Amino acid sequence: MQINGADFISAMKTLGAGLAMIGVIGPGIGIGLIVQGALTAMGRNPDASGQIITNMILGIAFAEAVAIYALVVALIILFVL
Amino acid sequence: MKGLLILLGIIASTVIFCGVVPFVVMPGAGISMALPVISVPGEKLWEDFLGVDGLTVTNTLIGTLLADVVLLAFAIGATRTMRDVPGRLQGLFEVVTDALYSLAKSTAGANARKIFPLMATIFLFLLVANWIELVPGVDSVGLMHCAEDGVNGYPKDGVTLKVDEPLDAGTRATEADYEACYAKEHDDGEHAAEGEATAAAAGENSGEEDTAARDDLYVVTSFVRAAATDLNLTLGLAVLAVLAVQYFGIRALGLGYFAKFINIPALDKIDREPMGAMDFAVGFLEIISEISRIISFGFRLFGNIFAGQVLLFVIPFLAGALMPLAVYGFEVFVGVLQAFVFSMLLLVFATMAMTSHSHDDSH
Repeated sequence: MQINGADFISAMKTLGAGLAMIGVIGPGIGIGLIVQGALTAMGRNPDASGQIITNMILGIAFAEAVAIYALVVALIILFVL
Repeated sequence: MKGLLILLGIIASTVIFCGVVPFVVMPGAGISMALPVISVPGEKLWEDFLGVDGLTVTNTLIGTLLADVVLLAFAIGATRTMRDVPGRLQGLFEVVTDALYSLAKSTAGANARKIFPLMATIFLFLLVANWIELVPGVDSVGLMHCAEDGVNGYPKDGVTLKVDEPLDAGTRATEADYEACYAKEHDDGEHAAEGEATAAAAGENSGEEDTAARDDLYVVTSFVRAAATDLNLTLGLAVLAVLAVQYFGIRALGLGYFAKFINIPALDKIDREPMGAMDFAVGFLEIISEISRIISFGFRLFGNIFAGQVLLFVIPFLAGALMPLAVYGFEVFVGVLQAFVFSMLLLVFATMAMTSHSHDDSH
């Protein structure tokens, strides 16, 4: 099977997009830690769970933004470059 | 007992619609699932719409307008005849508005009345815009046209794409395929001979790769696509949100608001508090963080909704049996969560901008 330049570039793009998504490891750990903290806090003080859930979702949103950056890089590599 | 029946109903309908229909009924009938085109920019439906030069209508624009119309229709329907004892629609709106207002009140306190209208509008708009993606037919009904270079196309059968096999991801079209298909579509009358010639020429070009050009590869550009899958909308909303935060800050604190960025008061007291130089330097970081908010606002919404759309497209091809139902349910949740996160962050940032920082200088 002959591999020409265009095939090589598209193969490398696919590989690069996959590698870019390694970046979601960090946010995954971060979101886990956030939820762990929130659940511990809710267990200690169930009355404050409304406030805690709101702040937990905000924290998750911030951590998730980093994962979204990785996703955007992958999308740019796949569809734009 | 009733709960058990509902559970059995859900399981039965899932087995029928995710197992029996796609794998038993659909093969051979030519109506299996086609993989929709996955494209980051909004797909163009009509260029120079209604003869206006340069007015291009994309399917995400139609999605945005549809979300506006649906939301307006609900709002007008709920508020046209207001009663002391609310009907169902008015009751629903009262519950939603009340929940949002108590949320704004618990976060922003006395400033809630100023921020609430913008925040609630963005929440309701994004909620409707994100849920539009989940209506059947939204990403599958549209204009059929020839598959461009690098897009997976299917043969057509009348007004639908012809997909015989389950899990058929189509055939990747090349430039020559597009040329051949285009020639067939546009020169079927008196230019038939010319069209044949173009098709033959296109076929000759691709003959070098030992494949004949196919003139029967079509794709569908849907009429409606979820508004937040277009970066133009999400970045536009992000710029609006960040500018609104600056506006709220200036309204509340006057020119003193800018002391957050260029910290003149800290420089004034630098002989007594040398650490004020640090505050001055931190001010420039505040400017950068304000700009990065636009990016994270815009890309968070876009990334989540676009990834959800791609997931909904692709999951029937990865795990066709039960997963689509789970992903659909998850997307219902993601739609409301992203609308909530966007409006909640706007609320928090606006509250932070409206709170003066000068009173805690003395500590």
